[in-house]
Amino acid sequence: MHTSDQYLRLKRDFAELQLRVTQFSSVEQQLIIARDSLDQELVQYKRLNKLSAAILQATSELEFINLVTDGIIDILELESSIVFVGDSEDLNSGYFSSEGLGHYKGNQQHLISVLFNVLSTGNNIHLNKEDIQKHKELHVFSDVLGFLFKDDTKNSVLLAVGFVGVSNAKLYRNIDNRTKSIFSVFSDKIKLQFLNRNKNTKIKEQLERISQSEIELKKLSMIATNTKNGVIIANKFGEIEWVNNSFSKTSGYEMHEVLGKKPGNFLQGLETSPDAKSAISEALSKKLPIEIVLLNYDKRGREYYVQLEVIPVFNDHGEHVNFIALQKDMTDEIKYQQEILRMNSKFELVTDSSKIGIWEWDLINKSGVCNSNLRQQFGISEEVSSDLIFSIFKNSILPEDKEWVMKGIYEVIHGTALNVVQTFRIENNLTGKQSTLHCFTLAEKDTKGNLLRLIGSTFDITDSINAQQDILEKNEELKKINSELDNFVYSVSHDLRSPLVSIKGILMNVLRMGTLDEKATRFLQLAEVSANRLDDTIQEIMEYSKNARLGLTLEEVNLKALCQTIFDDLRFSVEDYFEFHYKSTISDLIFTDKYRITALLKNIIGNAVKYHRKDILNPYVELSVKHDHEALVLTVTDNGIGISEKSISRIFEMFYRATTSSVGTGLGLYICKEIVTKLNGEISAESQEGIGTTMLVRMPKLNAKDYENEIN
Amino acid sequence: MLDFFSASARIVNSKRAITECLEVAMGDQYSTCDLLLIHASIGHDFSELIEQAKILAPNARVLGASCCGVVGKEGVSESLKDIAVMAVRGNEFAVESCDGIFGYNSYLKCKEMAVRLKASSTQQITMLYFMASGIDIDNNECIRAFDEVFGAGITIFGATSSDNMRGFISYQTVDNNVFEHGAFVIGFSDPSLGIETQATHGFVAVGDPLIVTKSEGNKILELNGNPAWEEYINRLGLSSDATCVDSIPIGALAEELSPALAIEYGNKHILRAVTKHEGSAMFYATTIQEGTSLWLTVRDEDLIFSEMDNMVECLVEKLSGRTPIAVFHADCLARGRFLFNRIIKEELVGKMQFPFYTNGECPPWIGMYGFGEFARLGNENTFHNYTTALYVLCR
Repeated sequence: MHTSDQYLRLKRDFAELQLRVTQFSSVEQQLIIARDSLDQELVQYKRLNKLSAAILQATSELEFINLVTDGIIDILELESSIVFVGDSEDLNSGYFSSEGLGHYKGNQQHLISVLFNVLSTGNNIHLNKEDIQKHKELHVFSDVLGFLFKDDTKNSVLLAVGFVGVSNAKLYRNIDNRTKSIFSVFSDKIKLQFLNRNKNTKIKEQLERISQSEIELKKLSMIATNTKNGVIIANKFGEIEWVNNSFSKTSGYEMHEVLGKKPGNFLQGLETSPDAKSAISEALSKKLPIEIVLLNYDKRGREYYVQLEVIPVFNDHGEHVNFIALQKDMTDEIKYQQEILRMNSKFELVTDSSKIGIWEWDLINKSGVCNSNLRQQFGISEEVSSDLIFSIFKNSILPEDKEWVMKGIYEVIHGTALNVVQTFRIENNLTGKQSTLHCFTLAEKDTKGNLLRLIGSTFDITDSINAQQDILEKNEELKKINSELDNFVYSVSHDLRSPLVSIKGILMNVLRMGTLDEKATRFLQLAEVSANRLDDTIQEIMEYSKNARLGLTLEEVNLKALCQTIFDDLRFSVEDYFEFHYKSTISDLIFTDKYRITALLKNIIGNAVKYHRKDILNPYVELSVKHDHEALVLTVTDNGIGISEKSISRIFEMFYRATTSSVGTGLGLYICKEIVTKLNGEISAESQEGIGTTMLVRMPKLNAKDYENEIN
Repeated sequence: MLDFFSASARIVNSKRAITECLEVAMGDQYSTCDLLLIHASIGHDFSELIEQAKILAPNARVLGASCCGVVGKEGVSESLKDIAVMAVRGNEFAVESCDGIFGYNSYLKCKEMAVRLKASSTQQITMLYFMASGIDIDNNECIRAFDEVFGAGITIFGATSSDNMRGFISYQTVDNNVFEHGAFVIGFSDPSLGIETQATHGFVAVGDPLIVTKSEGNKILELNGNPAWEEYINRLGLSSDATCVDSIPIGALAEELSPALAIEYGNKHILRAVTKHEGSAMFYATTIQEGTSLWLTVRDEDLIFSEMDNMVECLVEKLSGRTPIAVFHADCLARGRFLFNRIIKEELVGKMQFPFYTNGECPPWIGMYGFGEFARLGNENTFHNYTTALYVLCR
């Protein structure tokens, strides 16, 4: 054979082989589709089983209908469905449900009546296109698959129909034998469940009851096992059959150790109350329930308290079969109770010692209680019955206080106030002695907000009030003395100054005569200096006194003009060249006390002049004025001799003199400080010896409104 | 910062189904949902789903698509009454949609959406979730349009919607509208979120290729010089009355990848599906050039499993320690119950999900069996068929 022929044959064979391969894919696909079809059928049967189970659980006919409606579509994979259950004689009497019939524009009730006529009772019907052509109302469908089933015993019918619409028919599988056989199984199941639906309901109810009982039993078992309380189950003779873990935990006895034993024989001991023991014995013998607090002993002999509840159990025939004992461990509660009692007694001790009266008035029972302090305060003897306590309390209040005191208490009673704190006077019921009490009253309410009782405390503050009164009186006396002293100082100073001024005048005249010899002149000059110093001192004492005696007088002051006057006065008292500067960033007009600001500035600026350096060419003093937030700030700076570091902290003290020069009295800066204090301000100083001093005054910034208030 | 929540269920009544999913996903916080993505099998009433979703989450944008089955944290389900949701809380997203998208106007419709989306988003969009009808659409043209507006660096992920493999109809829902040939795109703009995507198929090309001898956009008119559909089903060994229902499971067509892409993909071929035919014309999923060679394929179960493992390993590696926040999953419906039985499929999905668990919990997961999948390949947005594609959002 030629090579070319071989090649051609091989090529042909290869092409044929490849064609077979691709065509084998087609065959393989048919197998896959067949496999899928079987798989799908299995899935459909599984869905049917699931539906049956769901129908068994259905609690109403409507739920049954809805499940079947969905089932037709889901299991049979049809497009839509309708299901009707009702009276076979009256189609308007039943329920129906549909799904996926959005494309059906007609009346669904009418569709049911049409289907009633089309489907014969009992059999499953498949209407194909040709069959459907005979029924105008069904023309929108390409396939109809359903059944009509009658339950003769109840005269009711079940209609269940699935559809595929014409418009979407290409999307749905043809109704083939497989679908029909599934539908057959489906319809059999549904019909059976329809017939047995009442029976199903009963079975379901029974199942539910059993399930409920099981749940209850489980719950009880869980409660008994897991409760924190000890549980003992004993037979009718009182012998233990079962105990829970909490019992073992509390008592220390495991179940195997106590089975068959009577609890009283090993739990109770020496200190257990004999009364409690006999009460339990009596209740058990009479098969009556009992609840009692009991002292028990654990396995190691330790005491513990329990609240014991024993319940006899009877069977359905009324025969006594068991005892159930519940033990609540009360050890902690009893310890707490004891602790509360101990605390209470301590509290009483404290209140007794502190002389606090405690009272309580039960508004429901109209009775009251109070402690001994209160009885003492009000003069209530021990014999007075509890229902009279409140009326004695009320009647002891002095008539002038009684009305408003009772008004306050009634506000608490009526709920307009939570509590009230009052200070009032009472007259002791027995001694007639008056005293002043500080009283706190509050209301106690129940959880619904209803008032239960009034509770109050009273504290006798008579001594304290008297002491306060004494202090007030002494204060007044002191004020009076101070005022008198100020007046005295002023009068004395004033009276002293008059003859002094005369002396000064005489001395001046004698010295001007020029007839005295040198020695006499010298003596008289010394006398003049001393007289001047005495005059300065007296004037400053008067100034101080004036500042202390007089109240503030606010007025509008032209600060610049005031300073100018001070500068002018001082300018002529200084022999050397001296510069005066005034700087201000605020209006010249300020509101202040004119007398005091004048005295203040005169003193400070005067000091600058007095203590200026004579060895420099430009001695100066500068007053600068500004506002800093709400403060008026005055700064007086000079380049004078300055103040030593050790003196600077003392310069505002009375009679302190930072220099030994003869010009100062030691009162000037003290008066300045008093003035600034009176003006609600502060004064401070910074200085360096040989460099100069800065005095800083900060005072509240006053305005026209403050002035108006002052006027008013 | 966006938060994601998911749930899936099989419940007949559509309103009950969406209610249960939202309750499972978000507990009693479902009213705080800002974006709700629904995948539901074709048996559900989409109008009812939307109506109920709007009642439960009145402020949420509600988007949905039909599919052949769903995958969620709860597992896989392929019935006519499946539903899966991904609920999102936060406002770092924008949505655009269109109706009437087909193969011939895919580019134009997507370009319009992309332009509007870019304009409506106040923040920089970092990824696009795209969902369109899976029947008669040119997905390459869709990608081209988005790439032009957002740049090829922005990842497109998502799928094309389907029915139960009939190739008859698919739905897309946007707020109160239900479309049959619609599309929507979500632009996520949460800067803290990253995304990694990958797809795998595990099929092997066999035999001589079919040569496209006449085509028009996404329609193949002739194969090997013969009427396309007839030539195709003949090669598949199907009878002349076969439909797409018959051809889809076995008719994956393979296009050859460049050697570089083949290495990254783990396979020499990328697959394409035919979801519709009109007479002899076959509706391809992307633009198809004349002269293109298309191979028929056979599936290789061993390869499917090993490629799946590779893909998950590769994705975990790409995460580089970042935590998976949510996983979007698109699977070809032909890889569903017509490829594997339920047990194998559950095993596959279990193997797929487990590596993304954090603290023993599966991240929010929404998957669907649809007609096609988007995932990056060769650092480009690419459309795939017959694959399992995972989109892992991470932070």
